[in-house]
Formats: sequence, C-alpha cells, structure tokens
Amino acid sequence: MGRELNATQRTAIMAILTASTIATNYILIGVVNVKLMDLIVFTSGYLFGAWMGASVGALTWLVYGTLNPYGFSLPILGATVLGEALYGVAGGAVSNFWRPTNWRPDARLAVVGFLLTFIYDIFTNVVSALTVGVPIAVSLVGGVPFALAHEASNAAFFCLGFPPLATSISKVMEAYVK
Amino acid sequence: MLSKQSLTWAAAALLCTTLAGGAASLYYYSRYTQLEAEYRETLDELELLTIKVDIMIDYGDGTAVWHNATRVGMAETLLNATLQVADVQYTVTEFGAFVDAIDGVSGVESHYWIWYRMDGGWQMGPVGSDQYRLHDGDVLAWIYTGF
Repeated sequence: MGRELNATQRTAIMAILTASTIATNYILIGVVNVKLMDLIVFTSGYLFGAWMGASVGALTWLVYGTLNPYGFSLPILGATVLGEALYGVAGGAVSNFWRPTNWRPDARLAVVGFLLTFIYDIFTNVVSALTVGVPIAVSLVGGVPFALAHEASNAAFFCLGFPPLATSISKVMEAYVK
Repeated sequence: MLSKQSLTWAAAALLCTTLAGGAASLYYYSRYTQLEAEYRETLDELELLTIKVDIMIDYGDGTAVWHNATRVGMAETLLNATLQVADVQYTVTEFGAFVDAIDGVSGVESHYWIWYRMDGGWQMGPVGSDQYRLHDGDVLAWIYTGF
C-alpha cells in the first residue's frame, strides 16, 4: 500500500494517525499503561511500512511525552520514542510475511503484542532507572504490576483490535486515496 | 500432527506466559521479603517499647494457669496486665483496686485474690495491683488465698 501513496498523502496519513494516537492517549490518561497507542503504531507500520510506523510512534511520543501531566524527562522521552518506534518497525516487518485475506481475531497477534510490549517495558524501565538513579533491579521488579497491565492489555488489543482497525483503515484508503 | 509453524507459535505463547508468571513471581517474592523485613523491624521497635512478664493464676482448686511472656506496655500496672490475660472483676476503693474475681472465681468464704511476686520465693505484693508497675522479666502470681 505504501508504494501507491505520494509524499503528500503519506504526510497527511502520518499526521492523522499520529493525531489519533495522541487523542486516544489523552482519553486514556487516567488508565495507567493501558493505551491504544501501541496498537495504532503497529497497525501504521503494518499497513504503510516500517518507516511510517516508526515515524507515527516517534511523533506521538514527541508530543505526548512533552505535553504530559506526569512530567517531562528528556532521557525517558528518548527511550519512549525509540521504544514506540519499535512497534512501527515490527508492524512493517510482520506485514512482509503475514498477509491474511480474511481478518479476524488471532491469538498470534496477542503473542506479538505481548512480546513487543515486554521488550518496550524492559527498555524504558532500564532507561528510567538509570535516569532517576534507582537500581535497575528495583525498577524492573517494582514496575512489574504496571508492565503486566501494559503487556496483558496490549495482548488483548492486538488480538481483538488489530483486525478491525487494519480493515477499517484499509477500506478508507481504498475509498479515498486515488 | 501439528505443523512446525503452529509449534513455534505455541512456544511463543508459552514464552509469554512464562515471562508474565516469572515477572509476577519475582514481584511477589520481592514484596514478601520487603514485608518480612518490615515485620522484623516493627518487632524490634516493639521490643524497645514493651516488656514481657510471666503471670500465674492459681484458682485455689488445684488449677493454675501460666501466661508466660505476656507482652505489656512499659511501666504497665499488674492490674492492666492481668486484664489482658483474664476476665477480672474489681472494685476501685480509696486504697486502690480490689480484685473481686478472676475468670469468675469468687465467693468462697474467707478467700481473697492476692497477688505475689517471685523474689527468691513468692512474696506478697506490697501495694495494690493497680499501683504496682511491672518490670521486664517480672514473675507474678494471683493466688486465690484462704485465710
């Protein structure tokens, strides 16, 4: 699908997806570590390529990580930007070998969501520990409840949310992108 | 027969559950050790604020019950310590508290609840039980004594 779009269309789609991701983040700001962001970024990478997915993830965190009521930290922002981009890159990578013709909830997507989130949580917790000066083990163990909430919710979102989201975006693209 | 791809995904799913279970175990073990350390610390602090005494209650019918290592507040009175380990009925008079019954034992003619302190042998309490301030390691007795 990425090869059919020109630069203007790609920029517009990137902006729309980034805005959607940021909006869902603010809607769910009270629910710690449960966000639709990772799913949308992964889907962006899947539908439009790894570069687009990584860009949506990075741009989302550049806004959400800067204008965030929980505070701002440059090293942690860097980690979250990189970590979030991973979802987009992974989405692009998955699209290279997995193109089902009929979308439906798939447990394999839950596995992908869980493992990606696990890597993201480990990475960001380590960077947070180094930034704040807390022992890494303490940060990792103390963050387990939040990490598990993040991983479990993403497993569910990827399994149940990816098929309808990918289908919807694909239909919109077919209808409006000429 | 499962395909290699199915087995790979099953292994990946099991990896997820293992990671989640392992992380949860690590977290709860960490919480357990942390709470145990806090419990020990609290006990140590409690040791500094409380004392332990042994209280024996002799009901005068051949029955005697020991309440060993009873933990009470520092400088607590014997009466209050006894109230912790038994059902005590007492009357407050101008001379102090007079114990009428312990665990319902009373009413025998010429018998009274008298308290004693172990000091080389049982020594009768020099003051009322509400006046005597306990010391760590005190060994005391309430004996239903007949006169």
